[in-house]
Amino acid sequence: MTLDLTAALQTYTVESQELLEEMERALLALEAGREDPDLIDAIFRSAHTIKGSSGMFGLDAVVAFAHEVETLLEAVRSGQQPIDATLVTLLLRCHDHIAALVHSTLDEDAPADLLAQGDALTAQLHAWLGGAPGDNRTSDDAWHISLRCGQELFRDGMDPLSILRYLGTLGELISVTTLDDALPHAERMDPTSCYLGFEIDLKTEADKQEIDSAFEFIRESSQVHLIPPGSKPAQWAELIQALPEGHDKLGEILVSTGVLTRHELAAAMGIQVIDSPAKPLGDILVEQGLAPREAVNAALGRQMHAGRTAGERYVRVEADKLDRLVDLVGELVISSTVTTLRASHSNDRALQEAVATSSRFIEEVRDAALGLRMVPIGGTFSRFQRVVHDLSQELGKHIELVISGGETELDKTVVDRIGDPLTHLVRNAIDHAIESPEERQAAGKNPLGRLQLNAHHENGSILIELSDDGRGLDRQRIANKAIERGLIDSADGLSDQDVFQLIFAPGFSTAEQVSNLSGRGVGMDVVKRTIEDLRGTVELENRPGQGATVRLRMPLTLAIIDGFLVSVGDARYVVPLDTVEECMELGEVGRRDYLDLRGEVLPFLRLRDLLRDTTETPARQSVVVVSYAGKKAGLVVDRLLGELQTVIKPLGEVFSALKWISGCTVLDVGQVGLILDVPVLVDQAERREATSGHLTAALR
Amino acid sequence: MTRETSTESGQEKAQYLIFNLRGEPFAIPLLGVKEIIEYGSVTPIPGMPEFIRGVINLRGRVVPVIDLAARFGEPPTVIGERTCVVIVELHEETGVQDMGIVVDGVNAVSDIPASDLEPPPKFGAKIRVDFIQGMWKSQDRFVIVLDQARVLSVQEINQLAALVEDTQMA
Amino acid sequence: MSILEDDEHHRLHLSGPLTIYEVDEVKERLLAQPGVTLDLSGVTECDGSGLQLLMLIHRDAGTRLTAPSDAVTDILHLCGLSHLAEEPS
Repeated sequence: MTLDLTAALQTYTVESQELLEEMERALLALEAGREDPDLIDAIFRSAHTIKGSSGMFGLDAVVAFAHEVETLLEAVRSGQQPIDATLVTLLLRCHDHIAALVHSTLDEDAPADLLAQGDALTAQLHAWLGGAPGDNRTSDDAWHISLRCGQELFRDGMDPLSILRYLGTLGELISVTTLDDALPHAERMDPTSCYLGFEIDLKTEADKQEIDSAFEFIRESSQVHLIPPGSKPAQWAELIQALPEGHDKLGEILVSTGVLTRHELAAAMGIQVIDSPAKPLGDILVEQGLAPREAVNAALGRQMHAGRTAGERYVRVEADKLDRLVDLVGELVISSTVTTLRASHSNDRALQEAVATSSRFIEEVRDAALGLRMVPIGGTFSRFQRVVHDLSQELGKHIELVISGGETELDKTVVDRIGDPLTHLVRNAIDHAIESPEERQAAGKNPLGRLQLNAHHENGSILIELSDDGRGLDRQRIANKAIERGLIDSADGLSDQDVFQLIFAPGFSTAEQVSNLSGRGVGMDVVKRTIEDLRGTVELENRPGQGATVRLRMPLTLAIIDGFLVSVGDARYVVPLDTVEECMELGEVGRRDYLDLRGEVLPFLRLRDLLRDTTETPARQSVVVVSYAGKKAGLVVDRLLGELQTVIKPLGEVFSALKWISGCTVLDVGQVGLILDVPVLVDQAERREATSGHLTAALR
Repeated sequence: MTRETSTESGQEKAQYLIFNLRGEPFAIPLLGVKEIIEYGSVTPIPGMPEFIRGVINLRGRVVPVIDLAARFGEPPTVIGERTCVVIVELHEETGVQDMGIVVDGVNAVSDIPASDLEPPPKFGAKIRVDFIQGMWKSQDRFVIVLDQARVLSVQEINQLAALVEDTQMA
Repeated sequence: MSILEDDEHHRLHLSGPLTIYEVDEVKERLLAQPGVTLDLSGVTECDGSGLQLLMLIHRDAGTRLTAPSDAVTDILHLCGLSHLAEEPS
């Protein structure tokens, strides 16, 4: 396979994944009781588009299976096949199967067991349709009538329904499709205007004039197309041009106008698969004599038009390119700081003004560039509908998931990496927190458990909350388990929050403890670590007997940090500003490393010692008071250099062992400054003292 | 700079960068060398093994700098007038990584036919044998051709760093 | 035409004709109460504008259409929209 095709194939899988997500969302909405033909349309569209693009890549297995699904969906869409919970479950399984097939395309051929699974599902699909899928081709000897009503129709005293009834008297109305494509949204819709459209197949002995006479009074205001049985291709082409927006795909148009049946279309796509991906579907349709050239060209023209309007709204960009852009903009910000500084030293007022203007633009550019990386969390959230659906069914629990704040935007990296830990938290809540319906009833609760997933902005960070209305956290049980696992000796003297945080300690949950549901190779310690890697924190709120809330607090973006610049010797360090409480001079202190902060004992760390700096200690040093998770500590540094906003760069693989440095940044003088990870620094210091404390105690 | 192995007259040969380290000539493949810069403004990173001198800002990218002499277990390079940093591109499993190596001076670029490479001596070089790809006789002295992937193995550096970090923090 | 609220079943009853003369008022009343169930058993007459309005509130206000009268059933069938209304449960 050539490189280009691999890239295209990747695009295909990404796009298919998005379509599958949409399909799943719609299926779950159907299951939740929403009866909306738009949902069926969305599901149908997803299956149909995946089939089409799979055909381009010669992925026969996907095409064949998606076609079966599509046939059933077609029946649902036309109202022949009612949809119920069993069918939704079957369709969800079909969705999974398509996803597995699409996924397997990245490897070579689809594995045999996958295909066998597909055959089983296909059999079930056929069973629903009652035997072989039937053709829905309109009769060859029927007239096709396309009617788009003029808005004045009702007000002129006309009614398209009367016309339909009249047509019915001329022969047999084989099918009538009523279109609401032109019907505006409720607010803008005038009930006395007519927005309706009709596609009609009429089998009749009447001649054209007779049929035409039905439209005599509305011909002025409305669009009417009459296509005789066995019509010339050019007329079909004309009709396709006149079709309303919404039926954009070439195949779709040809099928919905009766030029092709679904089977003929599928056959054509099959040929395309074997031939070569380069040959356009349209050419094959024509070659095989399945559709007239004029009809194909007309449909293609429409499809291209539709593609253009949709394409204008989004551009797919490689994430690397975005990162590079953000990097460069970061450099630009830094170099502009230098320019501003230089300009301020000169006496050239005009230069200073020009520099000020350009630096304002540069800041706007930076904000815009960072904005490119921001994506809404909603896509990740809605994945959990499925998790909740499957898992609660498996466990015999009734749980609804309520999502809010899906439009909240955060850094793409965060969105990508938050999925797994959130999944784990959701599974954990379903598995452990929410009780069985019987238990809930006995406790006087609604048997329907409720999970709430919410995201919102708070003080420049993102807060993601997962609340359940389950049994809440049991301090005693957690403490016992932690003692059993050797994590603590006793829970005496520990605050509730400290005890609850033990859940996140490595080794708290073990394989035999965790059911295979919340297991899946990640423990709560991994959840916490992932969040902390993203510079976030995890908090727990307990409502005994009423549930619990897990709160993930995360920075808006990973690319920029507000920091406080300090120096130790020749080196400069950045302390994240959100951890800085205050700064002060280090006065006279004794032998012990703590000082009196307004009557409070504040332990401090001498960065100089920690960093083994060998330069001479200055006469006066300063203290940066930092706090995190309720702990306070002082960092003793040589000099305070003030606040700065700067672009974070990873320090790279080589330095990954340095836990207390979270990254670095290029300072305005071109020097590299290291960003301190305050929680790690403080925790390490605590641990060091704790161990040496134990040792001294043991020696005594 | 990126001329690949040529196969003139069936003879496999590649270009190497010859540089000086404490008066001795060493060679690395020219293929991975991106540029050579003057030594300067290296930010030291505390808590790392001695052979990691720190990081430099290379046009906005942060690149670690390795002291080769220290990596070979010898005293660290004394910075002099001819000291420079050779920036090489490493293709690691985790991606492409740039790394700088401190050398006492760059001498030449030479074509070395594969057949001219002698196997490393079993002992006596006082450098870990797996660091040496081979020996090349240039005029009157031996040039040590380094196995760049081993010498600059990010994985190994990482493990060593973790070891240093553990001892310091314990 | 009248729209009556049935507290017991949480649904609205639409009675009388639903034609070009009624649609303005009906639209206003029904859009103000999205997501309700609309009982159509009392609809005596329905024209194209009535049908169009039913399609609109079904689509945009999430109104559930139920118990269509013969007049409504007839036009839904004619237009291939039988799935729009549910039989009374």
